[in-house]
Amino acid sequence: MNAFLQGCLLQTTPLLLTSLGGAFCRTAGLVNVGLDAFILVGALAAEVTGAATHSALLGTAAGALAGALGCFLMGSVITGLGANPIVTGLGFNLFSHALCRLLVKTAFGVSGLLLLASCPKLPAVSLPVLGSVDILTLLAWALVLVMTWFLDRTWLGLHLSAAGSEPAMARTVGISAPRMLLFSTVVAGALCGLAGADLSLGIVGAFSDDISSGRGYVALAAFYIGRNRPLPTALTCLFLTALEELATRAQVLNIPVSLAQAFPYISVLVLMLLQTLRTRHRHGGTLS
Amino acid sequence: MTGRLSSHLGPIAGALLAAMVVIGLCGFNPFESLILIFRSALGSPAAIAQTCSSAAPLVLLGLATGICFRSGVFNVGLEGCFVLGGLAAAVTAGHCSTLPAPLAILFPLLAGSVAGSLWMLVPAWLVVFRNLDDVVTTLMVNFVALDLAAWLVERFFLAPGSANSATAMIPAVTHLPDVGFPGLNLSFIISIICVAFYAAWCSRGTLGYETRIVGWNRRFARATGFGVRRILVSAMLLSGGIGGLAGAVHALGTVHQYVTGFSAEYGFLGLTVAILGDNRAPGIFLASLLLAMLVVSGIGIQLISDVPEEVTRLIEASFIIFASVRFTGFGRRLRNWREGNAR
Repeated sequence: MNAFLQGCLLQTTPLLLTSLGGAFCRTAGLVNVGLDAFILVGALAAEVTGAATHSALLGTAAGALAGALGCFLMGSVITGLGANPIVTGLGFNLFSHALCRLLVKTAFGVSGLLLLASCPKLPAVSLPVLGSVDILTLLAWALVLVMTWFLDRTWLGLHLSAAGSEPAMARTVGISAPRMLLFSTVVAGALCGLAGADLSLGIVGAFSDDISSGRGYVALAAFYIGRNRPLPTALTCLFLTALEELATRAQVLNIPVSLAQAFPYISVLVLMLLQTLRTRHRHGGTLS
Repeated sequence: MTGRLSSHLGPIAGALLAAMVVIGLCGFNPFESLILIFRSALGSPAAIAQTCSSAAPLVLLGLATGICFRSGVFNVGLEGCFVLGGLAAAVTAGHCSTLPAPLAILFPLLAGSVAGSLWMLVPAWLVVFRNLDDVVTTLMVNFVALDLAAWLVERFFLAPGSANSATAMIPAVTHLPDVGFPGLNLSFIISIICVAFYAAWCSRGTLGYETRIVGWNRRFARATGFGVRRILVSAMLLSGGIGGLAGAVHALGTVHQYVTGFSAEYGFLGLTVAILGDNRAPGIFLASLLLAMLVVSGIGIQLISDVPEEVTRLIEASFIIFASVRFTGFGRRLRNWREGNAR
């Protein structure tokens, strides 16, 4: 049971960090489909920097920086050139996938798994009931609280929400919606980069080009279900991971691997469906 | 006319520029890579024929995406239809070896199309009747389709003695035949017919007209008595059917089996094609030819040089990034597009 809880908590971390980033962007008015891209970039940067400096913390910082830079680029294309955010986000996902493969192939001469022996693992912290978890797990859950506070209690957070929900009205009171959007992409990118670092320096312990395994897309759904609020989003992530963890354990019994892989996506759809049923019930009639 | 053309050349130039900078930073000569791409896609008559044949699935996917875009549904779920359509066609073709040639090709194509359409029922129901977000829903359904296809192959259709998950090679009678020129197969003709149908459908078809009105202003359409749900579901099922046909054409014309990695992100390339071509028939056709060059050269470029295949993937991806950029004020319209369609 403890092992199950520990597994859930560890596996939730990258998804949680990513969906917090996504929720942050969404609050500023951008549906960020490119989250997967920045997990991947962050994971590669963390692995390479970690190996070069023999420091997991520097690696993590490099991951966050790379993610932030990448997401800022995406934000600039969207705000500066007026591109459609969905298509651009999908493009960035494919772009970073190709770029990471290309870099790993040319710099290290391997395709697929990049395992650098000199790369240290993330430091672990031991908790009373749950056993040892890495520090990014603690950071992620602390960020849930920080983000709630930031969005509800600080002027910058309130400006961000205002710019996201009513860009035109925000402009009349002197808030620049594009600037808020760019700020949100930097934060979101850094969070995705941290998620990548957590994967390559923590959970997986190496870099591979499918390291994110669709987490960016599941995160997208998680903050939709959590309606961009940090705590509901975090609980959705925990719930989805717990379901997946259960499915992996049930795999020993009978579920084939390929179907178990579809599990998070199916549970996302079911959750979204249940949510619409509830909303409909609350409004006492049909939507639309 | 020149204004419209330049608004389409802008994103292409931007994408090429961005990709070349990145390729240069990765330590490859960008100009040399570009020339190599041109040479392996257009360097010989055989290469040109292959590029045209490879454009066919992209054309069909672009049309399928365009149908949904016109009706205001941001459908990114055609990857799933493509994959399941390809699998259905490959499996059906395996049972068609004794039929005469036209039927042996017709049945797998139909099977692929039906499979795509049936699969699209899932997101159509969720999006139209349950009001789930179209982007998130269709994306999730894609991944489910990929995993489902992998499971179906492993469980039922695995070719004997095959190491990776692949179906058996389809019999020769079901291969799409060459038309007039070696390497140029029937898929190209199919795609041209579909483009012509799409152009006529948009301007003269009832559903084409209805989808345009619903996509232009959903509330207006509802107020004036259009059956919005019926129209949206019909458009999505039609789109899924064409997406499945694209998969079938890819299976019968190029791959000749279903194998893991059957779709090299074709669904997303179809999205790009529709956006680059602004949902119009001629634009979709030209954009498909452009992207087909990259798809074809990805394989060839590794054989004739030490430039890895990923270079062409980079250029493809930067086309997707820049596809919706319009340097003549078009971008603002696209950006506000989804909000305009909000219920």
